[in-house]
Amino acid sequence: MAMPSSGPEQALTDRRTRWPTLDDILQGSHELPRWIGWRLRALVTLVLTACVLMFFVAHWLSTQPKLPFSVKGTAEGLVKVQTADYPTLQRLEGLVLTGVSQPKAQGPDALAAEVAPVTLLMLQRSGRWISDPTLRQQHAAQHRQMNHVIRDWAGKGQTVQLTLLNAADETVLIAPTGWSGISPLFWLLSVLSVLVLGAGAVVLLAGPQWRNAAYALLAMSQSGQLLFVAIESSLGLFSPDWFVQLDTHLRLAFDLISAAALVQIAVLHPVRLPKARWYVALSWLSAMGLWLGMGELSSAWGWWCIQIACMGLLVAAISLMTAALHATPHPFTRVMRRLTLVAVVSWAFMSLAITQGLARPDMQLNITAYGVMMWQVFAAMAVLMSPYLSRSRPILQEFSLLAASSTVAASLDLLFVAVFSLGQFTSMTLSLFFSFGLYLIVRRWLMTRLPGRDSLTMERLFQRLYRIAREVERRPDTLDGSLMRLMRELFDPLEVTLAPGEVAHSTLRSNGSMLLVPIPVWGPRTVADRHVLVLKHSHKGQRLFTLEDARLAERVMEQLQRALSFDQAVEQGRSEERLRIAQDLHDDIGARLLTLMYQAPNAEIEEYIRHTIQDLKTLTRGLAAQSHGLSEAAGEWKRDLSQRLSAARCELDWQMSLDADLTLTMVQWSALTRIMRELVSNAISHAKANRVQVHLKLANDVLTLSVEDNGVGREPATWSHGLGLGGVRKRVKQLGGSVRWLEADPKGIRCEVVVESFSGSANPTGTQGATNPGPDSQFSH
Amino acid sequence: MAVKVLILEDNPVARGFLCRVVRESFSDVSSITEAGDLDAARRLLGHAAGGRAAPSADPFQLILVDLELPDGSGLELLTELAGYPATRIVTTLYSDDDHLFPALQCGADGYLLKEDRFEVLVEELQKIVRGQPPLSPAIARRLLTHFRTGEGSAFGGGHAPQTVAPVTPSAPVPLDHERLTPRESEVLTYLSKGFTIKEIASLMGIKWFTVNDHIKSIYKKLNVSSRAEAAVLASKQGLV
Repeated sequence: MAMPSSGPEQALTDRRTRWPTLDDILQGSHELPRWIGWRLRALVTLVLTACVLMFFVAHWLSTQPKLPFSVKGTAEGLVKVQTADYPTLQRLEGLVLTGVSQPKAQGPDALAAEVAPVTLLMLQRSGRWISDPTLRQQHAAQHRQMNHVIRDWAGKGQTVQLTLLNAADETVLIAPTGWSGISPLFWLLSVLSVLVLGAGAVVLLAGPQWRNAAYALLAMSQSGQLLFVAIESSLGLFSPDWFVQLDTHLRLAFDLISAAALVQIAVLHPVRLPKARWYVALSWLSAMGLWLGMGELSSAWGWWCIQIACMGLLVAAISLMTAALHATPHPFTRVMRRLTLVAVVSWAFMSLAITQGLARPDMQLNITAYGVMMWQVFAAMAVLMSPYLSRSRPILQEFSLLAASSTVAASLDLLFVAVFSLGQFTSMTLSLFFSFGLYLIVRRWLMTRLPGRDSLTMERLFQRLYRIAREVERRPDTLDGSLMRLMRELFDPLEVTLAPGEVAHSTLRSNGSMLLVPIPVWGPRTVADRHVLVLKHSHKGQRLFTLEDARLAERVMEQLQRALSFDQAVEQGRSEERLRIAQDLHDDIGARLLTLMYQAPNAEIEEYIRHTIQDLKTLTRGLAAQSHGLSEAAGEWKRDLSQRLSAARCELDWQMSLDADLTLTMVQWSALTRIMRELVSNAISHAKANRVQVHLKLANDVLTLSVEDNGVGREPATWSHGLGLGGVRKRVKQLGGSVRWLEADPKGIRCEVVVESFSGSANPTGTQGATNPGPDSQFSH
Repeated sequence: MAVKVLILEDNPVARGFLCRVVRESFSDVSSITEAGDLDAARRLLGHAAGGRAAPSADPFQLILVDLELPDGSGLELLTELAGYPATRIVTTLYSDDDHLFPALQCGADGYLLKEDRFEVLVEELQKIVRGQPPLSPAIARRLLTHFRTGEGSAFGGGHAPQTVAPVTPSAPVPLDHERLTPRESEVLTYLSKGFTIKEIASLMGIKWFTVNDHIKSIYKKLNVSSRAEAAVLASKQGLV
């Protein structure tokens, strides 16, 4: 009973002991944890919770008050009514709004009505991006006043009085935003936010390690940032007081967390740097200290401090990545370093633009609203794709870069206006050009690290593929070597190794720094000794393997397998057909000839038919047999000749010296067999010899065959070349050699056959002779 | 002593020819029975297909069997004749080892090529009956692999789909009595290189009949090993 149950376990241990290398290469099991059980449940729970939260927030937003028109800042720092939602309010368009108050109550306390001022500052979406502390306090205070005005808001609607410049006050009804009033931007950004959160969770759940935890933190804070941006995009003038405060503080914290987490990732990935613990502790401590010390942003330089500290942490991360690159070159780190660099530069530009752009408040407003949003989207995209860098679609990468350069474009626009006092149109054009150029440069600089296979054109690839198939067909053991060479040419990796093991498909490992390609099972190779090609670091460590690369490798293998099995099928069909022909010839014609031979009227005809039968047998054996070794064939020739000669009471002197044992092709084998048989039977029947010397020699690829008898033959030059000698000439010609007949010393005839470059001889002339016998027969008769 | 002969051959002309060969070879042939197919031969021998032929009171001493017969292969009869006290000779047109090796394994004592000259056939037949089995270099090579690997890989290793092998390649490591002695293995090696028995005798410095004994012993072992294989196979398949 114990035997069957131990079976699978035995197989497992066998498997482990036999194939340790693939796991070694991957530093652990090469099978990812399967997404079953608690991991999947946790992920689903998290994402569902995030979605529920998103809808909850949306519901809350839909109950928030909204003015029945949109407002816009002007260059003079005033707030203008932009587009009205109802036709009745269209008369207000273009008027300047200065305040909102509760409608004058009927009665004595009418004077007590407060007016909440509406300024450009109020349109600032987040306190996080107001650099001046006094302005920030004002921003918060004004929102507080506004909240006071609509303190009776119960989610149903309220009338307010608008104070307008150069016009009479106007009383309007403000209604809840409603689901339709939520800006589409909210949905886009919040979905992205959930995605980023999900990516972080996936990475952490797939491998609970410190670096993955840091990535999850980074993703979480970016996701939070996006959520805040999303909510802000829908709130407008009536942001609740608590939200303004929360927004400022949390977004600050998120920025610091992201920067510190990035340092931790840089220290731990791809290899753990020495003193990693200290770097990590230092970065987290400084982030925490900054948040505690400067979190209130009360002093004038507090905001700058935070901005520079974030930059500092990012720069630290970049330099740590550089250090890691020196230690172990890894294309992933290279790409990450560049992405971080883009983030730092655009961050610096943005900060600079916001502080310098105070002179044009309306522009600055736009920059803080949209520039910051674009930067956040870029950062989120970068975070989202970094664990899947080799798999992410190019479109995602392009989009993130586009977001980065639009941040820069917007920042530049404001900077040009503010610093060089350029006109708005000029500065916009200039900055667009500049950032487009920047985009192109950055794109090239960043993307060249990812895919690219210019080293081998498709045409040449297919040529190589079929050449390999041909070669493998001849010598199956060359498969691994030639595939390694092909992969080297295709991807130019730092290292190609062969590991026993098994993967179902071409797969990427270690964030695309490693590509595993299964070698097709073919020919004598059994399933048990499957091998996997392990390619490390594409393009001498400059690039990452992408999903496209894996697909290409997969397709290459598929094609090869197809070519091989096709060739195999063709060869099998060919040999089966040959065998069938041989059998039919042998059985039918052979039996008929045999009957004919038994009934031959005289000995001459009998002998003639006997020769025909023997030729037929040689022919059919040549057709049926796959290959003949030269020495083996020689053994049979000797035996055959000695039998024939002894039957004719004739002595055989057989000498043979071979310096190499070749495998004869069918053409070579049958040609040599017939030549020898013909010459010997000539010696017996025509020359009446009683001694035949056969010398077969192969030296330096030159085959020499000499057959000498002591018979009565003389003057070979005068012979008429009948069927027998003509046949010998034809066969020698097939081998690409030469033949001559000489008079031997005391008496008799010596025939010498010389084939230069014997190993390469048979194929060209042989196939020609086989497929196109016309000219041959012309010459031989 | 009178020799009783059975000739199993479907071609009447060839049958006549073989009769002449037999009569020429032995002066004391008492009777020659001819059969045209396997069924006729079985009727003469008194057994059913797949059964064992038991020697009757007046058994055949020499049986010539053609391989290609209208109702099957001569190998079937050879297998059924295991234990029958007669010299069994395969007469065939096939000279390749893919046909002859299985015949030897089935217990054939020798083979004659039907297209050989009358005198040659007579001589060969006499040699075989005297106990001098023929071995071609190809068959010697195959014997070497057969005994070296101990597996039935000598047959049917992909190159010979036409082989009519009654015994499938499935034998375990050979038993002691079926291993070759160094001398036998040497003889086989020479044979596989095309040396004649006389040449081998002079090369090894022994008498030619000693070489012959070695060959006979190899022959016997081949048959034994083939029978052992068959037994293993039979017990595996639950036939016994």
